[in-house]
Amino acid sequence: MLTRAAAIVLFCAPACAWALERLPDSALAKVAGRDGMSFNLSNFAMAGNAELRYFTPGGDSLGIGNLAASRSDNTDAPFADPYRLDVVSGGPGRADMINVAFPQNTAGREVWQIAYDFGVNAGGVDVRNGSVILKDLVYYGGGLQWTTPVVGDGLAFGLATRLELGSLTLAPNGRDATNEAMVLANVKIGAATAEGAAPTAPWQIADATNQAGIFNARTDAAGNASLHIGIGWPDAGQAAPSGTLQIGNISFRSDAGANMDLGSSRIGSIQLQYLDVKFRQ
Amino acid sequence: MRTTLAASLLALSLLPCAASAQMRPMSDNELSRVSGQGLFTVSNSSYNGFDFTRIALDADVTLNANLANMRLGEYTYAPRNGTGADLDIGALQFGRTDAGAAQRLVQITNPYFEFVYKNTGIANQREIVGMRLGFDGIAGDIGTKIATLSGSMRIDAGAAGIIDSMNDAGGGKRWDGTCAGCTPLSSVGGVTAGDANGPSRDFWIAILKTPVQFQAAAGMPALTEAQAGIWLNWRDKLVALNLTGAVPVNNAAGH
Repeated sequence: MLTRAAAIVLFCAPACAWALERLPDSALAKVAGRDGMSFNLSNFAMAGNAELRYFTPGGDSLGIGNLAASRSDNTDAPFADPYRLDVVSGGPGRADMINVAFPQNTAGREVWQIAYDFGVNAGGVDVRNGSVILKDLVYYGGGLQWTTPVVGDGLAFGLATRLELGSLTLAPNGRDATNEAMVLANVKIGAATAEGAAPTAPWQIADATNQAGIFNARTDAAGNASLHIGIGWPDAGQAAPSGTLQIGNISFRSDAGANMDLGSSRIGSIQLQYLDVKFRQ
Repeated sequence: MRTTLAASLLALSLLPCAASAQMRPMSDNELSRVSGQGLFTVSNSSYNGFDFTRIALDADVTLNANLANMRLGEYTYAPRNGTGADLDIGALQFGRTDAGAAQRLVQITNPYFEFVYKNTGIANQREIVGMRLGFDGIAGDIGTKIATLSGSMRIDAGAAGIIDSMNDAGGGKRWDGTCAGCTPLSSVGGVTAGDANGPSRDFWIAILKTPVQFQAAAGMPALTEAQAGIWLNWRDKLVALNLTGAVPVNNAAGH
């Protein structure tokens, strides 16, 4: 008897769904832009011997493995400056945007340490190219945006970054043998400022509102589809933001060969006005 | 009838097994061949005592960009310190917006990074010599304002002759662009790269701790040996845009 009653309840359950009704597009549009979520890292560290290997269509490959990554925290204000994911308005006549904002990290105490090994197997030769070590990598703000493009298909995006990197080391004999290495030290990337000055704000490389990036697949007149990534011209009346790349020092150190100090390098201003990358078949 | 139904059910129940028996897992290598869409190409090679690993974007790139105030390799070079940098380039502009749609964009094929080593085949004795960034091909109008060049560059300046860093007594290291009886490099406000037969095929910038002889691309003459420091190579199919030193306008308002 109980079983029969339960069956009747279950049978009626779909009828209860009749209480729901479809939302028109206009009502659906009012839902967005209210909620978001945030997440943070605390005492984060990972290490392992997993390998990520990319194979080219011809069978050659590029592998990255033995990744180790960790991040220090701002212990004076834990969880006060999280990564944030929000749906925000794209402005009049535009679709809403998914916005991922990185921590502002004003104090610069959220610092990454990253190392991995890489190698290339090509033409029958398997070369162990060494370890890449990123020491004291600090992001200050910036983030990503995703939305639908104003014109055409695909995914429109925005991208902004400001970072400082204590050193980038390529050690051909591994991360424990850095006496043989090429080192780029004190690297800074961000919005361009007065000549020679360090960046103080993120460089808006693509802007989902004014100069959107685009990621899609395109088909040419012959019917061949290809993957495509690009950044459009800025909207009328807008100028593409300028970024800067500064490297405090480039050096080589070696037990086997010569040491070399190539001093500092910089590109004072980088203004990307249009980019179209079409991958081959 | 019952027998037929039972036979049918038996046959249906066996179908998945039969299909399963004919399938097998695909290796990553096999899977990568399915789409035919490559993002990168990679290669290893050896030449003249050096080992090279190249990672290239397998793509056609069109670009409009402005680079300004480039000073690469700021260190003291006693034989000729010049402006204090290996490359001192006030402007490097890819594309122009003052000369019609065809000149707005620059076409680049297969941009690549290449790492230079010695002894890659001997564990614990590998030596990193440097790296370079380059393009298999580049075509279009590029605005230039070069104060100091370390490299090998050749520009056809038309009636004004050929501007060639190899005519520099210093071998092109920290060259200020002047030479006896020739048009100075500073008078060139830009170049057209490539011609009707194809793009310019030898643009690259290297960071090296020792001189390196790179291998030329197929069909190209032997390259000048790159010197230690920051070194730019660009000699193929370059024609001066002007000899007034005026860098073409390139701003988004003109696109």
